[in-house]
Amino acid sequence: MPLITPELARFLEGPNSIIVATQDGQRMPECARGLLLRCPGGDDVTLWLPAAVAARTAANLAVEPRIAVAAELPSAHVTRQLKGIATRVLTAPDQRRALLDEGWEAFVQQCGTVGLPRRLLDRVVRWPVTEIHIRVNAVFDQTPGPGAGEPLGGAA
Amino acid sequence: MTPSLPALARCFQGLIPAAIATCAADGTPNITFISQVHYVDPTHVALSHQFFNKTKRNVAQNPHACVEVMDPLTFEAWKLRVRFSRSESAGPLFEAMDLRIQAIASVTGMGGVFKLIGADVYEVLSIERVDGFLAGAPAPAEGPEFSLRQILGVQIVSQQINRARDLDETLEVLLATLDQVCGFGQAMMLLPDESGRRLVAIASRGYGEEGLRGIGAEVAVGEGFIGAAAEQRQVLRISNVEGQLRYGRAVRQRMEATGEKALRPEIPLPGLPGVQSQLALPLVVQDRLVGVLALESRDPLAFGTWDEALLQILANQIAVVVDHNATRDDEEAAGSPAPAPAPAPGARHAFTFFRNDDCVFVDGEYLIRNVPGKIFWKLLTAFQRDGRTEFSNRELRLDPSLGLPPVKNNLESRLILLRRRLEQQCPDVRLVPVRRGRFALEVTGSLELVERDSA
Repeated sequence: MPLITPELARFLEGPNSIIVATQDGQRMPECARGLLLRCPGGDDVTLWLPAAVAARTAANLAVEPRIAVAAELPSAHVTRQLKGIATRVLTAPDQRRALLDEGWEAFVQQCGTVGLPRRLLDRVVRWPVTEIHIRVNAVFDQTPGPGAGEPLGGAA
Repeated sequence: MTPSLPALARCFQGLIPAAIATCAADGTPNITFISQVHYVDPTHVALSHQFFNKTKRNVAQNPHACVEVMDPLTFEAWKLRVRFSRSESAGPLFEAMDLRIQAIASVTGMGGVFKLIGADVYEVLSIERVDGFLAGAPAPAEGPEFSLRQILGVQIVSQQINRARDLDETLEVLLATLDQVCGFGQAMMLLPDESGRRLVAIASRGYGEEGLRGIGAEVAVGEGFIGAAAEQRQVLRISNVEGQLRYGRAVRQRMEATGEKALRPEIPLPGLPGVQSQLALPLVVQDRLVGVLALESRDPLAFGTWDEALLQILANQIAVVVDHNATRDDEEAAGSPAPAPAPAPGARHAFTFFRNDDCVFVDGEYLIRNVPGKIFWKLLTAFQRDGRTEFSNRELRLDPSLGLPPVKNNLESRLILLRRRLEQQCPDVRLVPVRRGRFALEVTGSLELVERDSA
């Protein structure tokens, strides 16, 4: 049974706030803010981060491919965390730009509903972008409240 | 330049959720959002431990973590390299963090259910700006959060309070100066009723029509932001009220889904519509709660740590004034009570006193209840029956039928409440100070008095 169900895929594709954790091989954790997630099929997801803030993440993945990604819908605090292995890290090709712009615009609109103004978000440097392909092996429900942190879809 | 932790104060107001990355003993990373990072001291922060158990387990095995916070005004991001130090489940830090959670829980109907388990304290090893995250030049380094203007403002308020002749004038001066000099435009003063279980608003400023209606509004001790601050005798500062309530509602939704606990309905927030910041300052003398000074704003960042500290000093001064007024001896001049002048022409008003709850209605509308209700009825009866118009505080204090405690009876604050309720509900009947410890009942028009056992 796939971990990424169609319902979960719809949620992960946003608009969400995205954060990412990696470690450097010495168990020193690192966090970064992501831009967008897409679910191409199966238990694979693609994550994009601004290259300007992804250098350490990419360097960590070169020595330790395990990665955690959390996506939260800001207006409702519904949150899911994915854990998996980064299978490929690259600089996103230009063809992704339209997709990322569209995803970002939806995120800006969502942030507006919680009082975060566009003028702040417009300052974020969104290109070039680092693209990370991930094979997901666990999904967790992280929505605050009882049951936060419990695995979904039979994940351990 | 690496900033100090205090310079990141805005990042700790909870407007933009932070993130914490940890790593398990087996090397698996973990990431979670945090609703608020709490500033502890120049080298420590604390995270509230309610739900994120994996983070808790990870730092028990590997204490290193990376926290990212964002400035809500500039959107700059900062990474804090931290090391788990300890978890506190008692003491001042825990109580301050717990109070905030209790207040949110109370408003969202989860009082006693949604609780803080621990305040997890982390040592901050380094602070880095996330370079390249934003376009344009970095925002200039912030100076101290306070301004000389605010200090001078508080000095003026403090002086004016000392010069005020009575509690009424003290409250008037306090709220006006907080507005005009310090820029805190919405504020109210609440004092406990005789049961000590409820707080009653006796003065407010900056609420327009809502504020006028707010005089006499009651807040149960322990309920909502003001009630929680009163119950714990601790200052409560909430930024981004809407965001905090959204978080509370998300938790509530999960609790409802699990059906584990019965939840109460959400409590509507009194005061300013669209409020984004609240600062509730309990007025405490020794361990007694003598009132609460509550400030509100539609600006989510209206109150900083500096405002909190500064206003706490003022609150302490006000507490002494309120307490002093609760016990103060009257200094009235002796004299015979003046007879009532012929009623000035005006409307006829029907006052009804309900004996079962000491409640007074005017022309069918609620006016006042409890001790202020009994006081008012005594005045009206003496006016109607004996033609009296002038009264002394002392005779009220000594009247056993009013049920005022022999000490700390807050008579003056009750008269203020009564006076202000009359101003709103029935301006034809007025309580007018004559001199220290004496006041007159002035009536325009005529009165009809009716007593009933119950409504």
